[in-house]
Amino acid sequence: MPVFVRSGAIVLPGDVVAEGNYRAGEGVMRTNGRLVSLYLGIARVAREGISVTPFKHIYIPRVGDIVVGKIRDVGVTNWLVDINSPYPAVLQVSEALSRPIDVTKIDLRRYLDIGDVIVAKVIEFDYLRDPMLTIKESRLGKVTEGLLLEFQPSLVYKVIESRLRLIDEVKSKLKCDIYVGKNGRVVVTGARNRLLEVVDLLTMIFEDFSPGSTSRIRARVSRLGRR
Amino acid sequence: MGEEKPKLMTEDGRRVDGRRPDELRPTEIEVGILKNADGSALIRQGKNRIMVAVYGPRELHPRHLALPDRAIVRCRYHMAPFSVPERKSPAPTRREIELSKVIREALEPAIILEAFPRTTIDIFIEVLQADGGTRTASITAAAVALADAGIPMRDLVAAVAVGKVDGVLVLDLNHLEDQYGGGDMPVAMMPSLEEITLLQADGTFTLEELEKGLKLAMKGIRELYEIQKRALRERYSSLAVELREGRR
Repeated sequence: MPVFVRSGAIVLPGDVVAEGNYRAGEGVMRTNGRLVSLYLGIARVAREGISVTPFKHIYIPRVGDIVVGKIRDVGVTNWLVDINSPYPAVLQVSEALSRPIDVTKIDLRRYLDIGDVIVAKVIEFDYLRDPMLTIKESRLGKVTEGLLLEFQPSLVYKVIESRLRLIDEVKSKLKCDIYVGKNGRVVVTGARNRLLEVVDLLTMIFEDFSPGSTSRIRARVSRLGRR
Repeated sequence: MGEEKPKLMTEDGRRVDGRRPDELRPTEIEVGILKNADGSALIRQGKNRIMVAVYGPRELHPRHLALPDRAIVRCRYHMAPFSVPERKSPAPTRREIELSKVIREALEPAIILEAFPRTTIDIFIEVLQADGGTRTASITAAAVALADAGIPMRDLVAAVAVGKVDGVLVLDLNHLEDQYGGGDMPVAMMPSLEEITLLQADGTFTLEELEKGLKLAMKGIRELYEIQKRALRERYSSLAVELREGRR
């Protein structure tokens, strides 16, 4: 029962990554006893099974995901939100405002207009209908100032797995807030004149996964406070 | 075409362009040549130059075309007016419409369409210079562009034609051999899975020739498969290095 790839190797769709009794993880398909990669990406061999992380990730919403969206269209009772996915999201008035309004009298642009950025949570998605969002929770809502960054959604999953504490540290040391959307968008607010430093660190946190990178970044982050 | 048939095979078994019967044209694939597309590729196979752009999976308009359980694939094969010696009208011809369908059906079995219900994957194939075998070269390049777009696939698809020239089976026909030869059989395969996704034939083949021809096509497809894989690996290993050194 051999494994044909090392962790970190580049694999292509159709590449046989292993044969026999291994568990097929994300991005891997089992066909007659062989584990085959579905994506162009990086293989990961672990005790739980063999998986492939694609280089270009297509974001598919899941209930509970925090996402950063851009308002694409304003309807009579809802907003259409671009969430960097093949499926556009819908934000209903009842999931955006704390008390009901008379939609026949009030234009929804007063609250959110085209181009506005929101931090939202996916509350419903089943492929048959477009995903539904809410902004009626703490730390959700319209972003009124700050910077929007975009990364590969697959990198966001890696960061959430292993580097959330680094982000927390950047937040407290540079006195800013960072919202990480599962759809690959990240919002930074309140960093003032140290914004460039935050962007620099975030780029490292999200994109540098070379050996030893975590400790290198950690060292840089801990040096921050001593100025 | 009242012209006289040129000599396609020399006495020592070389073809018009000097190749042996079982030899592919020199082939190169470049990945990620278009910034705006989700995935792209350029193939140079002999004198052919073909550019492929892939978009999606993305929202499908008009909505009524959407399928509730899987994505659809739309494919446009188009030849540039300057791709052939005599100007070709840019309007889609009967031939181009048929080739679009044939190419789509050769690629569809490889794509995991069930992963993206209600969406579309759009493939645009632009032939910049044509010298025979553009449908097969288009399939080879489109599979690479699909992989580049991050679309999940069972396998890549590679394609090549075999034909008959002065009674000899030859691999990867060029325009002359296609025009004056005695048969043309394009084959597309998912090489790892050993499944055929396209098989057409023009002219007459005996059963024995068909079998031999298929074997020859498979040999060519395996070579093209290696070229596809090398192109993708090269593109992404350089990208991986850039990421590691923090240049992006």
